[in-house]
Amino acid sequence: MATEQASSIVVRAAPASGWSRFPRQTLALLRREALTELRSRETPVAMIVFAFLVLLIFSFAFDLRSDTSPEVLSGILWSAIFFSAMLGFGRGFSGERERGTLDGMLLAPVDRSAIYLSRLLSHLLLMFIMEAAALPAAALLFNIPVWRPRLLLAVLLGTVGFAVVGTLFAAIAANSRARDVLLPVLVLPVSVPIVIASVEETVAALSGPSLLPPLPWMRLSAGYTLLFFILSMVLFEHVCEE
Amino acid sequence: MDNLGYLIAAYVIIWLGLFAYLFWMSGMLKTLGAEVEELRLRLRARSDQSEAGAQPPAPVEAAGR
Amino acid sequence: MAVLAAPARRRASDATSRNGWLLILNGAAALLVLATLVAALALTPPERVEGNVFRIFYVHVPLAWLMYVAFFVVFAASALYLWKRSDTWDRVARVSAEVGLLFTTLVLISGSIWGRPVWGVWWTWDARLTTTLVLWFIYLAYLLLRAYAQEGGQAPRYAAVLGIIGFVDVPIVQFSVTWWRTLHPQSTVLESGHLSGSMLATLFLSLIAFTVFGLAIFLQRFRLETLRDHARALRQQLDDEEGFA
Repeated sequence: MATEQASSIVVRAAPASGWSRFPRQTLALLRREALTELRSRETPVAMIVFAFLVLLIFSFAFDLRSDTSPEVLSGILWSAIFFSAMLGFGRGFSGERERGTLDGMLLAPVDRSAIYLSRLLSHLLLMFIMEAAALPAAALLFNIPVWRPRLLLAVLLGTVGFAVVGTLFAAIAANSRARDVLLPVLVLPVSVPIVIASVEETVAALSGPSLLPPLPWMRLSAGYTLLFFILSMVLFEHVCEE
Repeated sequence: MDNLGYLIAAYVIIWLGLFAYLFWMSGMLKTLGAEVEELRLRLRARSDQSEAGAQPPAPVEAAGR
Repeated sequence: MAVLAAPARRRASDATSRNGWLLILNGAAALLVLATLVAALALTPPERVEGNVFRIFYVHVPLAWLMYVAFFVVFAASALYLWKRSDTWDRVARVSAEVGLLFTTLVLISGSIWGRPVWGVWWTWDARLTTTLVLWFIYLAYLLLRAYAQEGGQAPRYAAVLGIIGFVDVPIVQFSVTWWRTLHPQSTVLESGHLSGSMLATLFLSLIAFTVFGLAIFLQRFRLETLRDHARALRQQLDDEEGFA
């Protein structure tokens, strides 16, 4: 059932040739995946609740008061974002459903990278939804000025960078045993640079005036994201086959 | 005197570690070598039987599963 | 029956010459390692600042070198596997990952033991140590991925992807951690070039010795893995045939 749906959607979206094929496939896939995820509402809700809980627990764990440093606050915020993201990525594509829909897509003449891109975009959507709830919550709980452009930019860059590797490894972990545990084991070591960059850039955003020239951290985030995006697009076909 | 204890500890741990690994490997090589021999013999026995056209016996409990 | 015998005969003669080379390699490794131990522990003088504890340097540095070599081999073998789809490359990758994890563990342990008397702490979050720790986790992730993969040919592909991504990541990790933590109590020796002639010679010797030793370990492990795959294949064949019984 899912198999036929998926392949028919993609075949319809794919004109015979030309430049428009890739974006159209991607959009078609994205529409399908995002709608599936969001219509059920389970994943976004679970992610938001989880993010809130992380913020809460860390407040107790670090015994936060009004004079807490930007370093600690930045760390707490990003812990909430990254852990919640992994929860969302892990849930999205569970074993059998994955097999079914993936086989369907593979039957159609679809670019493997389009599958990756559509997944990435749907994961990004999930993360943005979660952050739209978590950031105001953090602003309220910790009295941090999240509305500074610099901080929002830092969040944006960190989100995209993390989602780029997270999406690739989520596809790998989805087809393994112990997938919930395996995903963090795979993603976290590789994501160290983006974690460091995001936290440090957020610290700068929280503690300084917003118009300082960007530190190397933003360049690191951008470079990391670009590099691993390209690498993932290229390698994804090896994840897909069978 | 002069942190000799640390020096000794480091060298002992490193060399013990490396040789323990080598030791484990040689043990596994023996075990696996024996297993491969046994498997080969069983395969040969089975193909001998089918050549001779004999009725294959009731399936034996596969050992070492 | 002749079909079974011919490959066995060829295998036997290949094995003999291969075993000959292996013996030479193992012998050379043993000699070189012994020479290194003598040089490192007895022949070179203690270091000016750190004293005798500095001798850990002569095992710590070569192990770190081996760690990076192993990681590169995982990367290269992964890429070659994805390109050629040959099981041998996959075997090279997974053997190198396991051996690399061993080396990384020893680097961390030796570094920590060395750090305690010299820096006063068992661990500091300086750039090199932290990167090594991340590398340890990447190796571990590779092995866990293989361990938790489902049956069916995906594990080698997935692992190869991780092997490539991990390798590309390591310099970036090094970069970012260096920016993050610029407090490495710079090893006075390498910085100010106080490595005397005999120390440099010992270091050089130890690098060569460990490279040969590392190669010997790798080949032994590779032999073991080949045997394991062989056993698995034979077992599979037996299962298939027993299915017909």
